[in-house]
Amino acid sequence: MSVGDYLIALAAVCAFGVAFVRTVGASRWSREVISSAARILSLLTFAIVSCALCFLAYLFMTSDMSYLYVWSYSSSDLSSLYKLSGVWAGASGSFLLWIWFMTLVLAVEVMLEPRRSYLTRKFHALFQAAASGIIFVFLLLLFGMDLFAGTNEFLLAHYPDGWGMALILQTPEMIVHPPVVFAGYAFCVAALAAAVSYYLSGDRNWFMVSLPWARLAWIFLTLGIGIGAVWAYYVLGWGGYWAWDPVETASLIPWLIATAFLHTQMRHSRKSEYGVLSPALGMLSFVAVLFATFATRAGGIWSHSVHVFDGGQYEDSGLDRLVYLLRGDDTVLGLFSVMILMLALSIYLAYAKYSKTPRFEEPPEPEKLSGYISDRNNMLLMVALLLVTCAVMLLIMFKNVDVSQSDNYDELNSKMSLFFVVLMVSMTICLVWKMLGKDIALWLGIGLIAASALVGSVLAMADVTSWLVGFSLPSYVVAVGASAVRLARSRVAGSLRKTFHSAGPHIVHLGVALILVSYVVSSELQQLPGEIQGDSEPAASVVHLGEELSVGDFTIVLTDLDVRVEHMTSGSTVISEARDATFDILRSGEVIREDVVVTDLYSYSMGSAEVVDVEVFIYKSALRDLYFSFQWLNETSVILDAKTVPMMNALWLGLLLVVVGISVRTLAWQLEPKNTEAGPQGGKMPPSPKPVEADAEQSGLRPS
Amino acid sequence: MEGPGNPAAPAVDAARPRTPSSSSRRKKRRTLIVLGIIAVALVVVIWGWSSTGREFMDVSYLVEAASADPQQYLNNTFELQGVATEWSGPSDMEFVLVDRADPSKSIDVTMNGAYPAGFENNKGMVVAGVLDSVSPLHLTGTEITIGCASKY
Repeated sequence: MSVGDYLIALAAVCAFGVAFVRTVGASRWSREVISSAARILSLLTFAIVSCALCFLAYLFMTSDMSYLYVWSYSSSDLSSLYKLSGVWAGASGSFLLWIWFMTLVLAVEVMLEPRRSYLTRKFHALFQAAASGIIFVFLLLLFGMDLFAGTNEFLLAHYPDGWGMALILQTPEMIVHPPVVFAGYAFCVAALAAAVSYYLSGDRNWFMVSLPWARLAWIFLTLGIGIGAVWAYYVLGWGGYWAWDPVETASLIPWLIATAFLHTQMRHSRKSEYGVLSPALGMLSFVAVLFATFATRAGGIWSHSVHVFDGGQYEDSGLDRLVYLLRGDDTVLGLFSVMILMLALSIYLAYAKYSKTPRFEEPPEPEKLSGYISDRNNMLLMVALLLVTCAVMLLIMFKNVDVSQSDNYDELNSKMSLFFVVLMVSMTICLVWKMLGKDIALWLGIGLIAASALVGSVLAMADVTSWLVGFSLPSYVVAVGASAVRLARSRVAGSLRKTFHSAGPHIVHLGVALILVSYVVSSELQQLPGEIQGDSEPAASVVHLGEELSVGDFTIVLTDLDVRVEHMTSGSTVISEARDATFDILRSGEVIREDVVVTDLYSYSMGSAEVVDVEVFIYKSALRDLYFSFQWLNETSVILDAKTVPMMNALWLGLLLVVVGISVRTLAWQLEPKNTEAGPQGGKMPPSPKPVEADAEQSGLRPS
Repeated sequence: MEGPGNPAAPAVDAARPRTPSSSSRRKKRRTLIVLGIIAVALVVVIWGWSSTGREFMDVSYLVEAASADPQQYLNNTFELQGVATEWSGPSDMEFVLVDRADPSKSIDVTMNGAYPAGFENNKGMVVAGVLDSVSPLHLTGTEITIGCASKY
């Protein structure tokens, strides 16, 4: 065992200690002793896991190849920044990073406990017990991964400088993407712990803990998905940013559940609604995070996933592959078990809470359909739609375990568009009903659904362009407009903070609608090459020297080809050859870029060749990107993979708006003035929004 | 009075008396809502589960199936799962795709598209293309997908 193993074991003991004193110790020792012990042990857990992480970082920075993990994901010739990013380049290192973020949550909450006097002691105790319990289980799983195992002599003798990090991972996105994703995953543990604590303690100010962490988690989950998309588009050269790969789909599910959770939290904090559902969604967001990790680690279940870690198994069915993985990988088995356990616990606690919740008379029945439009019902509809969207996504994911990539993409792309359209229509109604009135809002919604069906059907029958564009755009575009109008009207006179507080959600809504518009346009309205100009082979993508290829209003002219000998090494990869193709790019007949050199790198080692890197060239313009890469054929010709992708700038802008909007909202909420009046639980009132009234019945309001 | 700018607050009135007729109307409405939800859920499940996708095909399956019934497979598009072999370098547009489990089954591939980063011999991959000859088996590939390099 190395120092790192001892640190992990010690941290696990401390985390277990926190859970122990906060549960078993409660009946044996005085409150002061328990509180002090829990605080010390929580901070110790954080400190020890920090030490383990720093130790791993130190091993990477000093290129200590005697550790297998360092040897596998680093090499002596890497720059310092990429050496550091090697810490989270593999499964066990990123798991340690995830645990570190969770211990950070625990440490912050322990430090804030004296200031959170509006929460009961029982809530604090349960929160710390739940969070440290999860951390303890994760540390045990990490211990099983053998993160600090030694490198065997054979490997060291052959590659003394390390196996190295794949060249394609040596990008700024790789440095940022995994930590952002795991921070988002880790912050969801606060939602889980707060939800469990609420179910067991009944402290209705629990949202004061869960809401800020959930917002933070949502920011990081959004950024994680966004940076992954940027990486796929700009670096990997996959020609797209979203492929409905199982790992991508699995990462969207926690985002959707966290979105539903945030919506219920808003109503819960203001109106005491969703007393049963909101905490269940908090727990489910962490379950979904576990599922996303499971889908990544167990990519082999989905035969079409490009994120297969193990090279795939040969078993015929997905179920056989699942059994194979569970038997052969303790981490996957552990994650799977924790996921099932947490799912069962959330269902049990939600049911127990539901059965104890007193029933109330329903509001009077409205006379007409539009009478059902209200803040309460709208939110219920949105939450239900988000959950149904997740359920259908999961259903298709598991149905398609053996389906080919392109068919999986087509199916999810078309089927999910129905849910996105309904979500956007519902969002539009929610945004405009107070401005336009219930009747007009309802008719607007019906009109949008009808327009989607009509335009989609006409385009499908006429075969003019993608039916999906016609089906989706009416509701997406109106949602953009409605969000923009609400954003423009969100100014609160005399208070910048209140203006930000009011504008934040509308910025997010605008961003989401913009992402959907640009997603459907960019994926469905791409332009592919036309005929080759000049004497050429019939294959449209083969271009000889001096020839040109037209893609939309762009023209790509191949002007030069060159082979260079390279002497670059990156760990075990020896780049020995570079092939350059030089292009001129014209738009509408005018030269816009000259002598653009695009390079492909190749390696020849042990008699075998490898394509090490395929450079992608992207010419960005306001409305449309030109996107191409090449394949060397011979000294006079190449194959060009070229296309134009519309609205990519709008897509990135939408992502930015979503992150900015939720950040603005979070900051404005945190800056709300503190209320120090006495609260209902013997403590003080939470800073904001106001806590629920003392009558406990309202917390889990449900109709009789 | 409800209307623009004056939305009704969620009405919760615990003191409201319940009459037998309103109770029965509510019961009926609830039954209808439950039935509606079940119907929608069934439609969504059936629609979501309805299969539209082709499965990945292993090389060995195509070798055997195309030998038995060539006309059914000729000139069709496939996504074939296998391991690349006999590729000699960047200018070589031809390689042999071997079955993952049975190395005796293979198909010749001529690429009509770019090789992705990470392409090399003995690597598992999926090749999309058209089967344009049955004897001998030959696939004109248009796209190759290999695993993502990320391992976190």
